[in-house]
Order: sequence, then structure tokens, then C-alpha cells
Amino acid sequence: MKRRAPRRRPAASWFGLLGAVLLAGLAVFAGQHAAVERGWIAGRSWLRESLAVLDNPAPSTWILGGGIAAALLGLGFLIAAVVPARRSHLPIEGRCDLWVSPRAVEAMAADATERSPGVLHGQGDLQRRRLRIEALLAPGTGANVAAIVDAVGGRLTGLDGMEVSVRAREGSR
Amino acid sequence: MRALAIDRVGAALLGLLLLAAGAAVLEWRFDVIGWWDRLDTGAVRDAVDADWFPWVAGAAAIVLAVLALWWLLARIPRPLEGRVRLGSADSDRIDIDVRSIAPRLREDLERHAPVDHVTSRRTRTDNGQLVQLRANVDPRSDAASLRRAAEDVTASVEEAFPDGEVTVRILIDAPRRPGRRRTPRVH
Repeated sequence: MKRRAPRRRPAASWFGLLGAVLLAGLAVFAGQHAAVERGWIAGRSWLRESLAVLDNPAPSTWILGGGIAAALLGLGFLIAAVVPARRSHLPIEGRCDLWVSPRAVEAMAADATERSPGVLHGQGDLQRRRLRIEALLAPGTGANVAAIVDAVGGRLTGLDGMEVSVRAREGSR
Repeated sequence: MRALAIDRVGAALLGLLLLAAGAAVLEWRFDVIGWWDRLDTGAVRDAVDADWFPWVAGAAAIVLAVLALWWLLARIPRPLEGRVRLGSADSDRIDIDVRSIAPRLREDLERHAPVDHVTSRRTRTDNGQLVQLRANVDPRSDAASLRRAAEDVTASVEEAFPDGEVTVRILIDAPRRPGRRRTPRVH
């Protein structure tokens, strides 16, 4: 069965929100000029003030800072526009459309680690396809890493291509 | 919040605009290609002073405001109608309300799988609707029992809708409150 993976919200949608706010700001800018020129509101037109600033031989520190910020923000917008949405869940093979989040896999792996004999505390960390497990072993019980790997592997059958590595540390008495 | 196709296009356009503005300010300050010195603001000034300009600015303000509002509001998810057509002949047809199925699927999953706090949402597919069930896993569970429960739920849906008018997808998330469940559950 060909399935489309569930994905996180793409970065572009946050930048879309920001873009809408920027557009609204532009609308206010243009509207203020129109209203001042028609005499609907008092004050000076922001558009005329910014045009007057353009004649200065060099920009003020504020404008320079704003320009650099605009360039960086623009770069952020461009990157967000092309970055694809990341996968949020990992597939489990079977005759069903079942997906598990990396945090759920970590929780299950940590629990499996803690239930294997001689382990005081376990923690899982899943990055891409690498599951790293840190285990704190009880001193002098002879708990072994292979048993932990077996326990975790048994818990996570069906999750293909997972690479499990265990780092065990013996606790002090 | 929905993801919109226009987000990418809009973000790219705004990004280019902002980059151009930033580059213009840098050129103004550091005078790299001498473009700013040749800049003649006279034409712009004439245009701004013209009688028609405030009207154009007002119209642009309205257009921009409408665009901004639409861009903001278009991402609000729209309620999806529950009806899905199962079959029709001549003037007769059978519709099913998927909203009536979702609670049963949630109950089924919660009863059969080591999960809790099952929620559901519906999305449109090519020939019907997809019910997406989302649940928080019990850390003591294993992938095999999750798969068995998911296969049961999927099989019951497939049996009821062999043509795939209604399909189900199950997403398993992290435990809600790690290590704070008081009553143990047996599966």
C-alpha cells in the first residue's frame, strides 16, 4: 500500500503568517498617506517623510540596522519557501496505515531498557534512524548490553531500518 | 491551521523583496556599485505630488489589506461535511455520515491498543474521507501489539467499505504524562 507520510507543518506556513502581517503593515503605510493627503486625518505622511530621508547621502544607523534585518529576514523567507515539511512519524510495517512518533519510540525503548534485569534507569534518543539508548546499570549485577538490545529490538518489531546502539554506565554504590 | 500552497509562493516573493530592500540599504551605506548616487528621486516626487496619487495609494491600501486578511484567514480549517456517497442507482442513493463512525473507531482503538486519549479528524481523499486517529502511547506497550490493534481497526473499516470510501490512518504519539499513570492497564 503506497502511503503518504504524515508531515509536520512546513516552515513556510509560519512565514506565511508573518508575510500576511507584513502585507497588512504595507496597507497601513499606503492608507496613512492617502488619508493624510485627502485631509481625513492630521499629521505628516509617512511616505513623504521616508522619501525625504532618501536624499540623505548616507543612511542613519537605524536604517542600516533595519536594512540588514530586512536582508536576513528575506533570506529566512526564501529558505522557508523551499524547505520541505519534515516527516512527523515513522511507519510500522503491516496491513494498516500505522505511524509512530519518534518520541513514542523513545518512550517505549526507555521502558524496555528499564525492565531488563539490572538496569536502574534508561533513556532513549532517536535521531533520524539511529536510536541511542543510555542505560544506568546497577553495580555488581552483571547486566549486559546484549540483553538490553534484545529487549528493545523485541519491543520495536515492525519498525524497519532502526539502528539501535546502547551506552551503558555502571552506577556507583 | 492548514498549510497553504500560496505560503511558499508568497514567502518567496516577500523574501526577494526584503532581500532587495536590504541590499539597497547596504549599497546606500557602502556605495559598492555607485547606484545610489545616480538615483534620481525627482520622478518619484512628481508622482507622489500628482493629484491622482493619494487615490492610488488608498486603492493599494485596500487591495493590500484584503490580500493580507485573506492570507491570514485562509489557513483557518474549514469544517468538513460528514457525508460520503456509498452508491447510487437512478434516483436512489446511499450516503454515510462519517462523523458517526469516528467515535466508534476511537473506542475500538482505545480498547484494543495500549494507548489512551484517542482523538480523530477527517480529511478528504479521492473517493471519500480519511479518518485519522491520533493517540498517546502507553510506554509499556510494544510495536507488535500496536500493529495488531491497528490491523484490527483497519480490517473492520476495510470490511465495511471495500471500495475505500472511508479509510483509517493511525498516528501514535508520545505518552501524555510520562510515568504518571496511576492505574496500570492490562492488555
